[in-house]
Amino acid sequence: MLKGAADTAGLEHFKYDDAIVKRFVVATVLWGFVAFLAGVLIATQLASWKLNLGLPWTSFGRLRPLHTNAAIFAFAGNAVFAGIYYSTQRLLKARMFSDALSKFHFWGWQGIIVAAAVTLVLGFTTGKEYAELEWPIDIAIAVVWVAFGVNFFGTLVRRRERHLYVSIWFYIATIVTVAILHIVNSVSVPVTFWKSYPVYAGVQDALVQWWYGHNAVAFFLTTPFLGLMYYFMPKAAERPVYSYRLSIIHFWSLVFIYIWAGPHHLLYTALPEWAQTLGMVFSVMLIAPSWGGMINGLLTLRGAWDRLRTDPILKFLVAGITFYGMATFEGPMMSIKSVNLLAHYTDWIIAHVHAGALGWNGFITFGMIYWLVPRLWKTELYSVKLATAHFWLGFLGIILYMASMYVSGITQGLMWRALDGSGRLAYPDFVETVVRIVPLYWVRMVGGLLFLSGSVLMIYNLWLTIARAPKEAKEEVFAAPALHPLPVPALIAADRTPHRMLEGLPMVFTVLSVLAILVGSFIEIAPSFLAHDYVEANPVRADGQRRIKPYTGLELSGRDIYVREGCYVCHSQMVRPTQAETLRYGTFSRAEESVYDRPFQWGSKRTGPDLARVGGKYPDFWHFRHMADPREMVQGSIMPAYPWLLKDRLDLSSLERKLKVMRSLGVPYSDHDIERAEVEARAQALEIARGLESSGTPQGMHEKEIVALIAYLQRLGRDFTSRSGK
Amino acid sequence: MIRETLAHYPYGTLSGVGMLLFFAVFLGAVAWVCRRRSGEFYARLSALPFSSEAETAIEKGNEK
Repeated sequence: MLKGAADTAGLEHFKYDDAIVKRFVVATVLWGFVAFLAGVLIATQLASWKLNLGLPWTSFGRLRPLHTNAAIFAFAGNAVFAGIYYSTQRLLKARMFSDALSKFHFWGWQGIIVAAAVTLVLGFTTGKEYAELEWPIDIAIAVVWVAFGVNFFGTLVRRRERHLYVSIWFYIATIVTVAILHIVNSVSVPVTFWKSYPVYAGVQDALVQWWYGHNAVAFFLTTPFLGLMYYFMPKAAERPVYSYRLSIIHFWSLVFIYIWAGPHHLLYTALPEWAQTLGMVFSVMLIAPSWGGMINGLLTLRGAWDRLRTDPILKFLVAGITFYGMATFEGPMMSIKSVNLLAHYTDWIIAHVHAGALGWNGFITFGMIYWLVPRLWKTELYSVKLATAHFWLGFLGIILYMASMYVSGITQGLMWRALDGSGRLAYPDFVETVVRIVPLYWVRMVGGLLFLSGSVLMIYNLWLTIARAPKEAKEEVFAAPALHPLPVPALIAADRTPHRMLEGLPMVFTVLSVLAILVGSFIEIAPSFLAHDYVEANPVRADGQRRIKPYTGLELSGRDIYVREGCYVCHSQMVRPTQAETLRYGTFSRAEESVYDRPFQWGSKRTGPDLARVGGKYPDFWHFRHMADPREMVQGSIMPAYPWLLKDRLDLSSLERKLKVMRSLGVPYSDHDIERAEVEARAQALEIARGLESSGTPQGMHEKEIVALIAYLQRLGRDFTSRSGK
Repeated sequence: MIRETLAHYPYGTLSGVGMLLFFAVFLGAVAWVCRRRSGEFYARLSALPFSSEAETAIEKGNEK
């Protein structure tokens, strides 16, 4: 039967492209295993530092971004694409617009994942969480995403069903918003093929990054999964969604409110107070649409709850939606400033994130895959018992993971802020709070191992399911009448209500969705572009000097090493304005301090202490020994050793170019600074190395990377502190 | 000029008006979605995931 051919009854015959769905399903399962394995490995590294192995490409700072990128973009990403390709074709009664674009999307995305895995472990990173990939890969992502978008919207144009089901709305919002987020956040100026600096700096970079970061959660890990939920939950429960009306309210309120919530990642930071408050208020409001969606998903099972006892697919879906409900209750609560003060930078955040990633994204994906594989390969699932065992292993794993991280996070938060009767810190040594939680890291590792074991069971179960499938499956042929486009007046007359008309006009629908997300984005981000008009960013002191000076060439090189090694993964550079923090670290951080920071390095987690005021706190020799073996200087530390920094040659060949790029972005380097960048850097390195050698370090350290890192660390906070030191 | 304008801007009023506006739009959307006599239409839409395959397959593939 010809694809799209019409018979005498006016019906068009067509087949769905399930080959592309199969590919994405297989990729989901394989990358899921990689992501979970990397997660277990880095969880174990936090429990036992020895597993960092003393090698650059196996250290926590490089593997953690690998884990997060694998989980988000490889595992969840492929799952989303599998679900979208399957459900979109059936909801629109049309084959995908272009098989070639589908294949390009699949292979392009897998290529990006491999490139990400290789470059991240090699230390090529932008240093912006969940957007670590360097500019050539960013461009590849944009190209592949656009191909996906063209394929999707082309299918919308060719559809044979006039109305767009709610899942399709969520897919539309996902495709357009992710494109906007990715492009805006990734704008940078290349220095070399694998090194770039963002066009944003300091506060603005922080705002744009967390606008992106939060909405990556919203529009990569939430809206597409809600679309999948609205399709696969009714299919698995064999009954329609509980309330279609609620789904309309859910969609529009979610996409409108979500985009505003990003600043809740920056509470008590140097971000302007109004932006923090706006982020907090919208985050609290977000609970309403989120729970609307959760209730709609769970109540779809009305009258069939008994099937939960026997059906592992429903177990996964219902538990996944329940985790979504928990995470979207917890998120707004954590966005309240007083709660955030305790939770932020601690393992509580890690628990919250994994309730979403493992519980919501993971379980919805597993449920979808167990539903899809038998249908795609035209066979029965090999073992329902194994699938049920997978569910319980995964569920128990998540519970262990979350419980341990809640206890760990609250312990950290309380110990950091604890004061004794005389108003001094009760636990002045940061490492005291680390040693206390190491046992909980072992519990977390066991939880992760259980979750990983469940995924191994799934791979075995699916392998045998596919092995039993008929070798030459006959493709189904479908028939549906062609959809002739109606002029708008006819559409209005036919449908009468505005939303019905909207669903028949996908491009108008898409534009309105974009407007919904742009309102919040514009109001929050636009003022930061005008900031130079009304904020004196770097005031001149009485002696005529700028208070904040640009980094020297050597400090900038050290900063790049700091970013390369992923130090920001465990160390923040943002002292919050509270008594406990200023007692522990010094003066609270101000916006102008990071005016030359590209990327900003405020961080989001404190496995180690904040470093915003570390400059001058310790002598150079302390840093040297600390990087060689942290336990020599801090008993009980779980930080990896960085012996390669003492061996690897400091590369200053691109320093002049780096300063030129920085100047093009507004950093006040003079021609003299740029011309003599390398000479000055070597002179500063020599001075630091002489000091180190006088303390007994080996000769020749001025040519090693360690001196650049020491120069950077000793610079941190020095514009605002009066400690003497180098 | 911009600094002066922003320094004296009535942010409290602006946020209050914004909140009222957004809430009014939300209530309007709820009222609009819950219009009478739309139940049958929504019932048909919510059944779309089921109509896509069972009613249109004219040539079945291998049975499971």
